[in-house]
Amino acid sequence: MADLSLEPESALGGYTQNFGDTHLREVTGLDIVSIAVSSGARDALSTLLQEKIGLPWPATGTIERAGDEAALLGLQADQCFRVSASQQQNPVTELACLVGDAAYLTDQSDSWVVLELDGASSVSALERICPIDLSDNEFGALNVARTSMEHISVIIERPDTHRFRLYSPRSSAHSFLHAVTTSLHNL
Amino acid sequence: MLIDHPLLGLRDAAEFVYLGDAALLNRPDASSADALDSFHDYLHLRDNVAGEHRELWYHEQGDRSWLVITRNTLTHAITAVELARDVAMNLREGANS
Amino acid sequence: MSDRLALPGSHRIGHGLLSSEQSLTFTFNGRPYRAMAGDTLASALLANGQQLVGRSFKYHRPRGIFTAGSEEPNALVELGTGAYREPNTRATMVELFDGIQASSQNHKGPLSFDVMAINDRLSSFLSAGFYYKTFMWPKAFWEKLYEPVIRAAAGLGSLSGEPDPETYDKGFLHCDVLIIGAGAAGLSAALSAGRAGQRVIIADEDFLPGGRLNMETFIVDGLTGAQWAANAVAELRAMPRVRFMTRTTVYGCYDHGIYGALERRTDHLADKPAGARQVLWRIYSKHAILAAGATERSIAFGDNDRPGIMLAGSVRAYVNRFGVSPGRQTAVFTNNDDGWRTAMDLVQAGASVSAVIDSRNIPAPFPVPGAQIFMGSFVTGTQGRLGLHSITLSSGQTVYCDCLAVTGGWSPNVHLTCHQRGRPVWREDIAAFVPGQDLPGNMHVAGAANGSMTLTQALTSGHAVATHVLKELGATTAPASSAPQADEEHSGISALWQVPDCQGRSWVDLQNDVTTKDIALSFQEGFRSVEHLKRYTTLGMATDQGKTSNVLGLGVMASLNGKSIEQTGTTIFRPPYTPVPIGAFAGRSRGKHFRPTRLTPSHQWAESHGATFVETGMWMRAQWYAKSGETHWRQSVDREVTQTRSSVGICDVTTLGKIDIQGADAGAFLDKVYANMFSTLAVGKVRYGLMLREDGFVMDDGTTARLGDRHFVMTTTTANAVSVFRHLEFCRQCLWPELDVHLISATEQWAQFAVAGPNARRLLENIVDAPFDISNEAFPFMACAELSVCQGKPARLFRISFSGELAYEVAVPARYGNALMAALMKAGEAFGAAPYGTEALGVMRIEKGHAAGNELNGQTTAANLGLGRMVSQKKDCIGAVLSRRSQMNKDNAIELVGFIPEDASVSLRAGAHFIDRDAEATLDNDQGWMTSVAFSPDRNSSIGLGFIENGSQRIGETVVAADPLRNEFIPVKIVSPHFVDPDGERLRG
Repeated sequence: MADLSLEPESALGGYTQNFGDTHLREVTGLDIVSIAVSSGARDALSTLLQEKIGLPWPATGTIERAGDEAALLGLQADQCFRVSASQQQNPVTELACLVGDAAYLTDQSDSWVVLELDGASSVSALERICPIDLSDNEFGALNVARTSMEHISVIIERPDTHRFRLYSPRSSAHSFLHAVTTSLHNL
Repeated sequence: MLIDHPLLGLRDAAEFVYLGDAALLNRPDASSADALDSFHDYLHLRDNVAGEHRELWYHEQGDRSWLVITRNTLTHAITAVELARDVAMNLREGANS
Repeated sequence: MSDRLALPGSHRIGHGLLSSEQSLTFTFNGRPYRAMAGDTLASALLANGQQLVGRSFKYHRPRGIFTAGSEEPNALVELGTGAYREPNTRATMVELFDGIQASSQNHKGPLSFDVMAINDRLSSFLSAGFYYKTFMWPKAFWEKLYEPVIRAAAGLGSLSGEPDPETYDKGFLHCDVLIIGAGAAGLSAALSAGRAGQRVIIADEDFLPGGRLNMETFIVDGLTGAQWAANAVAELRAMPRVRFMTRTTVYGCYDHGIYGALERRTDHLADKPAGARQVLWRIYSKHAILAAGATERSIAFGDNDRPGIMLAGSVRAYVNRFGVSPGRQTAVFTNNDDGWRTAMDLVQAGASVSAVIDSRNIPAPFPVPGAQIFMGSFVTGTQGRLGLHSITLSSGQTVYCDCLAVTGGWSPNVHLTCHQRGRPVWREDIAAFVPGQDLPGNMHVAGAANGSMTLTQALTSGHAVATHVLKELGATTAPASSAPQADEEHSGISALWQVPDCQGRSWVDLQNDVTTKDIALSFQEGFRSVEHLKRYTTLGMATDQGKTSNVLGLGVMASLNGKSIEQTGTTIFRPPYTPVPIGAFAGRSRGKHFRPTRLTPSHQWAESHGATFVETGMWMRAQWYAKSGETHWRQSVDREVTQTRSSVGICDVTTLGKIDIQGADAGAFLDKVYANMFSTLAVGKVRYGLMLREDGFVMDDGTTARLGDRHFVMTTTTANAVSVFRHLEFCRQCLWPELDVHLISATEQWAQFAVAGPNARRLLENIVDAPFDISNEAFPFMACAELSVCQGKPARLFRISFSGELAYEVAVPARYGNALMAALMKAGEAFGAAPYGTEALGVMRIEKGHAAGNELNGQTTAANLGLGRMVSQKKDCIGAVLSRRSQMNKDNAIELVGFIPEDASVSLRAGAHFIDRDAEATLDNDQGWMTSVAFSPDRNSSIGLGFIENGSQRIGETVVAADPLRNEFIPVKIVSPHFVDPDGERLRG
């Protein structure tokens, strides 16, 4: 039989582009795992997470972060996303060993396409599509929100003040990329 | 409109999906003798309130929580926003106590 | 005076606030003119002595520039050419740039000789309500004659008829305080709020902020008003938390402090930069201060619509801001002190004023050098052909003038206070409506918009309102303790609406050509409510929304019915305040960007293998794959079906919704949301699930697999993926919050492919890694497993069949989807594997008798679908109780069955209704309808699925599929819905 090995493909082919002072790129190589708290195990889970990966359970709307590629995004009262640099093995299996019965895990690594917007025009561009107030006082570093941009469900995170990461569903990644580049062009 | 989400703060109503009367939380007992009537009333009979109305909204483009919102249908003034899950839990405890 | 000669335009009497250094050229009706930087099209036309700029809407009367602002009713022009042509642009709002091309509109032949002016002679036939009265009979004439003629004659301007080549965008802004209007009150408020460190957005529709400060000669804090405004603007622009938006109209006030604003970004530039021409902003404010100023109104007197007759405050604006005197000899007609200021400013600028006519019987408030003064007098008529030549006074005396500055007082711009049904209240002392107490939440009104009509009042109220807002916001920085200072001015007024005993018609609404006679007629015919008056006469219904005419119309109406203006009431103001282009509302959502597109993981592979795509919801799915030589879609689809049924076919089915359901109570939860049992499903097994709505009708269906003791994966139909998820969250959070269960969508995570056909297993044996055993014994029908494929890639395998063949669905993480499609095709090469699209998928499911969207239309029950036994009687679930209603279980209920035409060469049509042979096609005889049809290569015939009364008891009977619209009456035989393999041997094989 012919070689039938599968090569992974990123949704946007590793897109990267400068728009004046602002840079837009597709971030690849991330593992994303949804962590849902099993009933009554919230405190136990938070303790476990702190012990095993050094991050506590994040409050909804905030990020717990250690280094550039290890974070917990607080998306719901009983659900957060763990985002980490890809380990080339099943991210759910690995995390399941750490948290046991305290959480239900679902691999979301291929569900989302991550764009990173870095630079001075980021906020002005996002003003065109994002209904969330992104001012430093309201949505400074280590904030995260899920909202709708151009009819697409998007998670927006601010790892630090000059950078935003935008998670859009993989199937509509091209449409969302168009939404972001249009915003940068229309300034 | 803006909805003051209990966990997330003010969010545009465009992120939400509207369902209707919060009476939908009170699903009748299917095993009772008059279940057919009570389900009929539960599903179809609504007060058409001119004033304060408790209603269900779903934060579909957000944290996926169902909310019970008290809204004045005449002015759109929103006076209370609760997590529907909390309201439902309280209803259960009330029924059990 | 020597430099006056250097200024462009014969009516230019100074610089005003313009820079004389930059001279511009523009054309009007093809003729070139010169102008100055800072001019509007209106000021430039007036500077060049061009008073006649258009023809009126109905009577095609010659009309001139009437105002200096966004309230302009007359001076509507077309700008640009070709696809860029824009009709109905207010000349008073067009910021002039070099090379602009403008032309007048609404006339046939030259502007100076409009053949449509015949309408003016026919005016007695075109009075209020003429549509309803004149064109009623003969009835047949309406469509053939009246409407085409009226359509050709009506309307203002004309569209290019081409797609708009400009770019528009939208956006979202947030602030503590939104200040609407950057005049005296707005700037005063903005300075207070900005200095206190608040996040402020201040928006003004003009390109030069300052409002009336730029149009008057007042002194503020020792500076000219314009200089003070310029300083304030500079200070505000330097504040990091203030966003100063010029050329931005806040056009609507919505719930909870949300405002709509249109920003015009490139209209004023000769060289258009890349980017959006206009941006429609949604502004979220904690508080808003409306400082929109006031609009001057006219007085109704005979022939008061000639070019050269203008509002007095606008004449002042042209003199002071633009250095233009619209007339060489100006007369002023006023009922208030403000009108006198026009006379004074003209004289001071060196222009000539021939007369001041004041309707009030009081001593003249000011001396005006060189002018005749007429107190207690009226203007009763005007003369001139295409402009103004002279006016007649109530005394009968004639006064020569080529410009008449008229003022009937000022109306506060209360519009935005009424967008949530607020009602303005009448203030007799200023003869104007002011905002009532019922303001939109957290809106505050300052300055003239609130009836504070003098400059001192405006500055003070702006400061006071801002101070109040700061307190509400809990600002810690104290605002400045005092407001900017100016001298108090005279502001007396005595209301005058209509001059009695005039010759000729007295115009109220210039844009819609409504006269006092029309209002009287409407009143005489019984229209008493102002809302009725408005609609019958069309008063205030033109693009200017009656900014200069509404209050005047109310005044005339009130005098007719003998009521006060207060009792007469106002019509309701609705957004937008000024017109917003449809293009701006559309923004970037045009063409294929109207909504997002979702691509399947194998999209690229499909594209490069000749797929034709179909939109299903937002998804683009391969519809069929044409091979070379195939010229009709049916050839491709028939081949795909035949190849699948005879060997193996592959289809991307990623679009089906997938919901990951985990928790200790996941099984119990599924029992509540599905009609059938799931808690009993063994790990490693899949079950078909039927989901009901609470009213007992079928909501959705799909298969659900149990991957672990506490882990299920549900599939939904593509169309219902979102609504089912929402429903499940409702059940989880609102109905059974005590259950330990969690939901998350996994639709995007897994690329999933159906592999169907007798060779499906042999194909997959090349894909699935050892040691996984997919033999029929180890992996029977309805089995599922998590395994690996293609040398270690994680995968899920489900043995389920939609086609009725031996079939599997294999899923891999989406990043491998495109590659897996290629690998499956490679692995199937030896079997002649065919990719198939949604058409073949549909054909095969119809052949198999599976229900899909056409059958699950929200009006059908489990029993209708032949699935009645699936509704478990052992448990409660959503819809269980109401599915037992007697109406849902009546004897002659419709049932899903198959249909074949008696004549195999005939094509069936979905939507046809079933009637007995020889029965008439009436509703009474209707027995059901055809839901889905296809051509079955297996049967070599058209086949259909449909609902018919007692269908399962009538197999073999012949009825007629009637489509009276197309006059098709096709005899069809009722058959089993399972056209292929009715016993299900293939899928278990």
